[in-house]
Amino acid sequence: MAKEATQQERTGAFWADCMERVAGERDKKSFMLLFDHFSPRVNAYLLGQGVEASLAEDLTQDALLALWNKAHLYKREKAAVSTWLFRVARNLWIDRLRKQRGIAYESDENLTETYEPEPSINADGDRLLRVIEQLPNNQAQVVYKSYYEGKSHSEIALETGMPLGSVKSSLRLAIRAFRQHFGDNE
Amino acid sequence: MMGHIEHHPNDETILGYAAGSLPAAMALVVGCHLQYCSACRERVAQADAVGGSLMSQLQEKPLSDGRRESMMALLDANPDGEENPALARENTPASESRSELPRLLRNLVDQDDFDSLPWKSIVPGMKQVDLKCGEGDAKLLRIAAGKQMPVHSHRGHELTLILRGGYRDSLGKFNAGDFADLDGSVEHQPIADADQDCICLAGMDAPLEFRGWIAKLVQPFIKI
Repeated sequence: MAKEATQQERTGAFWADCMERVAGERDKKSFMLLFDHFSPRVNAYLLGQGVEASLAEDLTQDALLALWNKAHLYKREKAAVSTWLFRVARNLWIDRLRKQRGIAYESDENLTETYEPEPSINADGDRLLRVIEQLPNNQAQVVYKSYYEGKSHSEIALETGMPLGSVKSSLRLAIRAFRQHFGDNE
Repeated sequence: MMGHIEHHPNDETILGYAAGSLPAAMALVVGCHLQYCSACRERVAQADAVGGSLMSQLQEKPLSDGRRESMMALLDANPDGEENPALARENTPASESRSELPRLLRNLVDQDDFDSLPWKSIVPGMKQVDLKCGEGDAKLLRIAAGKQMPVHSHRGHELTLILRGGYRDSLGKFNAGDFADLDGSVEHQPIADADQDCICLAGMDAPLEFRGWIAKLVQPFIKI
């Protein structure tokens, strides 16, 4: 008897397969699997950035709709689905709440048009997750505050009581750990 | 023309850009550098992947009742998604590719060449254009060929992208495409190349701080 993939089996490759079925066959069932998995996480990300609850849900829906509408732009060898959605959600947040997107980030279409493939990015974000889990506390904290609260280095220093230099060096160490991860995949 | 790029944003800056935690003025400078630097596009892609993995790990916050149904209705309303990007490409204005300015900057100032910008003299040999971007302080600086900027340090963090010509300072030689990533502790005095004006895009989270009493005296007036 064919069994549905369990949560455990739903790796980066599983989500990339779903995206390809959305792009190729406009498959709603695959899309709703993506929706059910990612929408509570995108929503959590936006709430973490201080977006008011009902707007966060609207933007989450917009992000998932972009995934449906632009599935043909997705290239599994370039990015994990989670990476792609993170980018879309971040741009929506910046665009709608800070009105600076057109200023500093290129539109997704432009990126596809002008950026060459980046083959060393592994589509499977699962190993990266393990790197993040193994970061020492202070490194994990500065990474988290940068990404999920959109805090600048000096704001993080103020909040945590860490000297600015330590905030920066913790980030640098975390980045080194990430880079090792990407290096391993080449 | 952008030649070989020697100087790049540091890791914290790349991460801040990917995380969306840089003020617009600074993110603009990074975004323009990315157009010319595939190595940094790769670094940003890696930092985006970190963001994606972290997002996957967050404690789930499910959407309200009814959102799933309205999502399905949206799918029915957009069965085919957007048109193929190959078709959209034909709509790209030709002027964009002819522009001397990086795309993001061109979008902001709506000009295709540096000489048409509203340059304002601030001290002999130095002109600037203020850029409006809401968060932080961004400007284009034009240092006349062979001229020296006053010694200055930065109260905050300053990012500079060289767009035309080049300069030299204590940190080395910077040419078009190069990126200077300076925090408050660095004091420098760039000297523009002798053969042409040096045009830079600078973004900072706090104004420049000039050293020396003459500089201090003029600073409130020149406001760079």
